[in-house]
Amino acid sequence: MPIALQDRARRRAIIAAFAVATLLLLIAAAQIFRTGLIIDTSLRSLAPDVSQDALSEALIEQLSAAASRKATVALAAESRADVEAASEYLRVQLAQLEDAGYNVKLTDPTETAAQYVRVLEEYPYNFLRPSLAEFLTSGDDKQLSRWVLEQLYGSAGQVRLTSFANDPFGTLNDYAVDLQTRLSGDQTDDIQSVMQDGTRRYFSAWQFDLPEDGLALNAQAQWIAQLQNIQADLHLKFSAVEWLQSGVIFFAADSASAAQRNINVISSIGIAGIVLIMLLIFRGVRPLPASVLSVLGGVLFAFCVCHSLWSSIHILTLLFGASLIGVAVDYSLHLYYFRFASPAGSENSKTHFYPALLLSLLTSIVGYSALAMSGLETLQQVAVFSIAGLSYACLLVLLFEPWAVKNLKVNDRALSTFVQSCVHCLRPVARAKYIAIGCAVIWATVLLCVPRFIFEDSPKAFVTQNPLLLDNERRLSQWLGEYEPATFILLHGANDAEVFAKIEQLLAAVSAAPEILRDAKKNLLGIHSLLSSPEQQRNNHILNGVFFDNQQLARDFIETHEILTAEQLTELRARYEQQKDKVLTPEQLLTRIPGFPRLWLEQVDSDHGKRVVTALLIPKNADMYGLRGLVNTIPAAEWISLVDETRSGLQHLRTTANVYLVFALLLICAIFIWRYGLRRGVILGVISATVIGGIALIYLVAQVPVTLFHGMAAFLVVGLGVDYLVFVAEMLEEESSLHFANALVLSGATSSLSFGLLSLSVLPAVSAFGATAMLGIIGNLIGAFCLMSVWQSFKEKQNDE
Amino acid sequence: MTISLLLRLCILGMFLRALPQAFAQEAAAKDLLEGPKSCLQYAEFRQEKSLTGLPKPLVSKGRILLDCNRGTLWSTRTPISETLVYTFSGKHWLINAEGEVQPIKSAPQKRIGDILARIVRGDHEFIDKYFQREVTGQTTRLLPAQKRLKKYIETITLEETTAGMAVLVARTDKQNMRIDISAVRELQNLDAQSCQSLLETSAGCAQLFSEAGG
Repeated sequence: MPIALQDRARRRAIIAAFAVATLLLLIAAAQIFRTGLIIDTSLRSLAPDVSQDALSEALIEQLSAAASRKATVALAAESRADVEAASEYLRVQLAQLEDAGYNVKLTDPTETAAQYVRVLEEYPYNFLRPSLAEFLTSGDDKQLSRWVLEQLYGSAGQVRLTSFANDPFGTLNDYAVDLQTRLSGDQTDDIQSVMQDGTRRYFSAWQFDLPEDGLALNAQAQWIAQLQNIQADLHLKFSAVEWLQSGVIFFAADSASAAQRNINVISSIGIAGIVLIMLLIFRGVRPLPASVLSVLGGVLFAFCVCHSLWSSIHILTLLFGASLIGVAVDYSLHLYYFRFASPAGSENSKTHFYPALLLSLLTSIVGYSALAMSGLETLQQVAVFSIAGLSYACLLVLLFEPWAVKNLKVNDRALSTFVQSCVHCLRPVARAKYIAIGCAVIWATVLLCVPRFIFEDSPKAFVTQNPLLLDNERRLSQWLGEYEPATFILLHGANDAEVFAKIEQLLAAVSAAPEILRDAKKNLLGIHSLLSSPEQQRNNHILNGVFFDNQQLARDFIETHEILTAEQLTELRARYEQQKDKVLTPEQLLTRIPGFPRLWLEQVDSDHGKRVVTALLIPKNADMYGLRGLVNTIPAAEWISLVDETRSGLQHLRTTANVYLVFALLLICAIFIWRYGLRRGVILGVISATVIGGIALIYLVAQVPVTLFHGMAAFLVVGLGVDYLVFVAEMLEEESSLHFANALVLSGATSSLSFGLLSLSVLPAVSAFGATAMLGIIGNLIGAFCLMSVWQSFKEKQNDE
Repeated sequence: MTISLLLRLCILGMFLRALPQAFAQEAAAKDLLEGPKSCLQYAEFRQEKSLTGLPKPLVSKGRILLDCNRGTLWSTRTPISETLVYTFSGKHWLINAEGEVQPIKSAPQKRIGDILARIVRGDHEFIDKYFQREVTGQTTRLLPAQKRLKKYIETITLEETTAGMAVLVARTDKQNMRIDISAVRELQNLDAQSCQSLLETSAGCAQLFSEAGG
């Protein structure tokens, strides 16, 4: 077929494929509009083997989300007057923020307390402070009557939360006040003191509830900015007052801000470098937008397809998938070089270039598809994301071709000299057997030294560790004694009574080991802290009956103090009788009071009947090891550590990804063998394996802790590497000139500027990814140069034969 | 908790500031919270407390002693007998009818004691932090300045009366309170013995004069 006809047919095929793919993209995008955009940021969903049953999962999710929405600011100084003055200033500033409509407010326990009392008033005789319950059992008529009068007239009744109509004897008020005191702890703008390094320091603590709506991130960012302004003003006005802050939001904001500044510098250098290279080599930036647009289009396509398939997308999928699509930049560069070398496009060169492009795409797809076989949903998502994105990006490269290569000029004499020199230098060692021996030695060393590798799976890799914030967190946790935000105890049961019995069992065990909570400022917080058990409520109702049988009290009420008439007392007794057997359940309480931590979830289904799961919050500074040991002795009790679970998830993902990296190399090797025969195919595969082995060896020698991010970057290295090797193998078939290899060096340079510079990031995860990519790019280029020598040797031998 | 504490704060604050005005019986409009105060004072009180569902208010009576260096005694005489001791050293007690002395451990009541200390020491900014003042004729009205307080308190009104003055606290839940303060006297000296004689009970005097450094 004539070249022009071939070109037209190819062009039509590209446009048709683009049209079909774009239709798919539109359908997927429409689906997202329908379902809404959901980006899963939970690291716990990474590992299926550590996740709980759906009920426990939902409870943990709610608790950890609630904990992450808490933030605390404290003002501290050695002078109480300084703290008071600064606190007053802060109070006024915060009130102004609230008036200005910022969606982050000071925690207001009074609202929750009011709701709580209203609910309790519906069960006025069901709640008694334990010491009062004892008193009702042992006290005589006179003592009980005096107690009631003290509640009405004395200081005990000064804090009156309940109405007389619902709580004539004040027993419920006594319970509510006691509970409120225990729960509210240290209140806002109340000056407290603490001994620190032998010096007394005063402080006021301010707790905030952060919003949970969809705009939370934006609102929080604005709020943080406002708070920072107040902090700066406070520092100027009250220099002796120290500002301390604690909460996930401060770490996230600090990390994001540090990473943002860092990434801005890195990306600016990277972009400037790439533009400079394009200007130097192509004498224009026209090829640049085509490359960038193809990658962006690929990411968009992949995002929509994956979101439609899974109805959400994991943040790691985005991170890793988008990086893997970056290989598409190489396709553009190869195309430009090919078009420059043969503007009209000889038939022979085209028969090699387009198959090379497709083969490069195919090997990358096969490599990435290894992740899909892992059985882990996150890795499957990454596989589908990168395959879909890379294919679409490749299609866009071909679509943009006529525009991008128009008036293309290449000025790469220096590059050619460099390539020639490299190939020449490597020629003595670039022998197939040396490469094979090198690969065997590297991998033997790596495998023998596996136990000496350092692995790191901590979620801390996602954030920068600001020592100042860590110090703030540690000090405030000692001063305020709040609850652990990411560690809970779960108790399971088939009904309310069973779960309350288990709570009692656990509390008894903790009481028997006082050293466990010795350093903690609070006790375990569970549903028992908010509500008596059903059995206890019934008992309390019975105990309240003594007031109605108390003749002394009746005389005091009716005759001595004329508080009530005999009829009114009879009416109260009738209402008391009506309340019999009425019990407030945890589910009812928590449903009606959203301000309480969601410590209880229950589910009724036809298979299992009723299932209940409840959580107990652990005070900070408790002996976690000892407590965990106790929990393990209680049946149906579970110790949940979100940090451990996340670490376990990341570890699982890392080990799986590493195994499937080897699998990907084997699959790619199989394609090479299919395409180039056994000997040549194995050499190509060995070079890829040597690069990966070499990176592993460097990390081993340098004792760099290996993370999931190193493993995922290795996939990118394989993707880039096979691309280089395929082009070397394909293009050397057709031409003896190494001019096409300039594209490889150019690709290496742009990849280094886009991926390699990430190694300078302050975020450990990003830095790990960048460092591996950088090492891989260098290794891949060396591998490609070696292959050129090997291939030329093969050709020379073939020609001799 | 907050409400009770602030109520106490206001009542005591107004009482302490208002005593000189009650004595002066000045006709001119003035802020009842302003003016000089004596360091040692005695007064009697009658409190009416309304509770939702209660047909008529609960009435209690008692005596108050103030020593701006040591602390305050709030002694209820009828219908129950109990004395509250708030010292500036930060220790507070409740002494019941049987003379049993119990340290006050509850956070709200401890805070009342601390707040009282600030008022007695003349921390004028403290009242202004929570309220706006409106002075009309013989009446001073305090309006909550903060949203959270507005949820509970509508107004606090101070009125001069022939016997002394009255403090009316209007709450949003209508559980209102009125305290009439009378027989206000400035004291030249105050010790454990005169304390006992003024209150007609030894309850609290020993605590105030021993623990507070007396």
